[in-house]
Amino acid sequence: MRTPCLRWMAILIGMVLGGLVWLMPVMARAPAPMAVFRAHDVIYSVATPLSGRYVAVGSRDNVLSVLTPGGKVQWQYRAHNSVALVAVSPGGRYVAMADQDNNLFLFTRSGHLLWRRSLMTSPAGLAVTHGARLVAVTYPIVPLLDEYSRSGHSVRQVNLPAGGVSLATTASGSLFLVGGSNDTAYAVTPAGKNVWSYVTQGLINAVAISPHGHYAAVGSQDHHLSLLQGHGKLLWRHDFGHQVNGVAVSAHAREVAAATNNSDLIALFNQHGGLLWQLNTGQPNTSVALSASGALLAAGSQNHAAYLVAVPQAMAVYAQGKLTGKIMMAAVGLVVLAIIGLAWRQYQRSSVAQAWVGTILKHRTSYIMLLPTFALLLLFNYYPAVSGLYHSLYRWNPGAQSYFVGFHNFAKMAQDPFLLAGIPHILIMIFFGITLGGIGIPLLVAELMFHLRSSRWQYVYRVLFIVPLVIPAVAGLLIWENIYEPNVGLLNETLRALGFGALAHNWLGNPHLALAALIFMGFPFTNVIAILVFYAGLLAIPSELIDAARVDGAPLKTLIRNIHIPLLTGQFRFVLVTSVIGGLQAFGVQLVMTGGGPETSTFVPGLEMYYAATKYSEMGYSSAISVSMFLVILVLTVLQMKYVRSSASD
Amino acid sequence: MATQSATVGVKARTMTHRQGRSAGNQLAIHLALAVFVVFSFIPLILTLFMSFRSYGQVLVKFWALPNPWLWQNYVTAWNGVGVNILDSLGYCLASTVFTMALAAISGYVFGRHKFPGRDALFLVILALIMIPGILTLIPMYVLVTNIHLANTPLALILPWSSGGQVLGIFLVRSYIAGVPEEIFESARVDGAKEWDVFRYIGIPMSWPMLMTVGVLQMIGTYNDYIWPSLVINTPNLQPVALALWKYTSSYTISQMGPEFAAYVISAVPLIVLMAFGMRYFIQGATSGAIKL
Repeated sequence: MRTPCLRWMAILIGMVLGGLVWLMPVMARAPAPMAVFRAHDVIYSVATPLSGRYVAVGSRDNVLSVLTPGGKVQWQYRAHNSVALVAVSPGGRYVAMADQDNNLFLFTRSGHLLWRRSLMTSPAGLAVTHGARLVAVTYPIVPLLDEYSRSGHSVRQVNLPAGGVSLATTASGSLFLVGGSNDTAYAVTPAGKNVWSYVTQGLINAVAISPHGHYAAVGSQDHHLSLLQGHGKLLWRHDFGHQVNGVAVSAHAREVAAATNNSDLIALFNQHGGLLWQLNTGQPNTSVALSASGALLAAGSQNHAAYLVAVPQAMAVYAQGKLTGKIMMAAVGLVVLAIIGLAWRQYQRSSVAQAWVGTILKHRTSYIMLLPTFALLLLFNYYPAVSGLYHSLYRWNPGAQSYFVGFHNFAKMAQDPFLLAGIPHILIMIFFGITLGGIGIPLLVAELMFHLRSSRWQYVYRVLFIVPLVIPAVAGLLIWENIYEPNVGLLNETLRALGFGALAHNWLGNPHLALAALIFMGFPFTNVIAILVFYAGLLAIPSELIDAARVDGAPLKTLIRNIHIPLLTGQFRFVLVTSVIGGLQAFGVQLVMTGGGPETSTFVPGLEMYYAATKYSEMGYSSAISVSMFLVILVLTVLQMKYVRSSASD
Repeated sequence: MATQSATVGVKARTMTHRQGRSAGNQLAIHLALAVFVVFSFIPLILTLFMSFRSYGQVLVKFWALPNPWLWQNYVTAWNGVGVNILDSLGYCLASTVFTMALAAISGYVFGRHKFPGRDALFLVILALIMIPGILTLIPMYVLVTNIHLANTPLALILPWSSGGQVLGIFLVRSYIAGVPEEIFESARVDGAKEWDVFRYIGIPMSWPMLMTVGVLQMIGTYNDYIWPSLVINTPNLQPVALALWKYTSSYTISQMGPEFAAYVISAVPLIVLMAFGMRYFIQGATSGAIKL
């Protein structure tokens, strides 16, 4: 039956598929743009000269290693204690290091030890100026900048406003940048004149300054990498969600690199803060260095490895990854075209298919009218849902490379103190949400309204309970925030006016009270939607039933218990299901009023999901939380459907 | 189940007037309801009075009327969030009209047309009930950022309309499915095009339900601040719900007068909406169309 045409189609598809299979290993075989040096212990510090011709690495296993950019060891020096700090002169002719026995060493480029001297205390910052004219050291507590000459003599000691936890220098040595222990970065001349300073919001971990001193970078414990210009003006900041341990800048800050804690990233940015490239090392990273051209990036990690990255090639591989995607798309497109062609051939032969297409065409108006709805649903509802499910298995970096991590994100949830704290909170919120605002008070109010004789008054009360809805929801929350305000809030003022001033509290500021305060916020819990649902349910009860019961002398209690409650089953179920499903996802109240605090006292899972995405850029982890919540809700929905069916079949 | 069948067994009699309700009982009911009303109005009353006071006034004497009445608070508040109220009106009206149009068209097609795959396609919409908003929130944020819609009105209008139309399609579909076929058939016999049948019969027939869809969509979008907090950073483009939050958190307590005035101003669109659309709102609530 096969025609030549059909055969050609099959051959085409085969070729495309075969081509893909052939292409993939070729792409995978692209040369690795990165050399990895493995030490026996944690890498503490890395440094590279402006030229990027070699990299000096200091590690906890007491070794100073000098490596080629390809990762080959040129020479090593074994100290008696961990090598905490390394620095090289901008021209690259000198290498300095400090060990944890408080010794300072200066070597030549080829590994010849020039001198060694002991310092007063353990140093935290080390920098070498051009030609090692100055070898400068700072200390975490002692507020001094200690400067030594190339021959190892003390040149001068400059007083600093605070201890220096990190130190960097320009190529000429005309300016030192000191990361102060008082959350301030100071740019000082070798003579000690303070040129400018910059205040961060958290302890500084690392500082770097560009060779000409026009740009500076600061990494701090407030999770920020900050790029500064000239006189300490902030250009941009990037929030990593975790501490930034190491920073580096290339000439004119065309590239800015950061080594971060916990989120395990080494990241490279362009001058404007756009992410160029990043690497996930699986362990906190301690230190990073860049050559002046930005072509070489060196980074040290707690996973005992130092990474020597050829930046242009690494970025090319990243671009190639995108190219692979395009080729795949093209291939898929070809296959689809071929299948359409095959279908067309088949269609021309088959009368059944022709009839089917005829029917579709006859009803084309219906399909065209549904098109906008489905276009929107596919784009804004189905695609994000699939994307969320898919990316929950990834370290998802939108706009950059993402990494498959399996169930890592889900495993991480079991260790997330904020998420774990949130689970009991959300259950408590749902419980009180149902008992008070979902069923208890609304049912009571609906019964009260139902038993009013005047239908006009029934209407009036209905309207009155709706009126508070005119306040936008967020304003309602902010008003309650004010009611809870400790000094001029309505609640404390009322307590004081009634003589219970001793009971006045900082309601939202006290971890033992904050969750209760959020629950009480619905007071008096006259949830008008639930009231209307129950009220409509009561009205729908056939009046003959009620009247008959009355005539038989049934007291109100019996009436409610035996007629109202059973006949409101549907309403109860509606309130229950929507409260649970809506309640599990809720975090808007916490977002506005407490931010999950104080401490973790009001955290809920949804809030952790929101923060993971917005504060910490952990999109994959955020997706994993939402997927988990989706699964819980799915199980509940299925159970509820099953329950509905079984009760309907009674 | 047993109690239910027992009560159903009671012989039904018609009674024109419900009895057993003494004047004393009625008074007690009124009292109880009044207590609930008063307590639920406390935040509103507090807001009204505070909006005319200054922090100084409140600090000196909490339990006092505004003295003097600071109308200036409203000027300050309008300068702060006025533009955002107008933004919100634009976004919410656009999204509401769009949602009503989508619900009208698709609800009509699913309710009145017979075509191959109708049930399967409806199932595709029905399945959305299984997808909670929390699953799509962050991926949608990434999507909207990637297609460069962030910080534009479309970042709000399109996702709001896409989500809002689902409930609308359900409501309109079941509503219009109950209209007798003859009405549509007679128009077709007269030679009306399908689009005209929809326009001149479908829309008017489903109008009450469309109004409910519109009122619910308007209230829902006007109150939304979580989604806008993800996709609208530009202060002047932020809808008022988000702007109120930012407005309040950017000032200290000493600005409480203007803050409360801002809450009052931002309520005005909802007051107008409720004044005209109350019965559609009640209809929506009683048909179980609003989530708690």
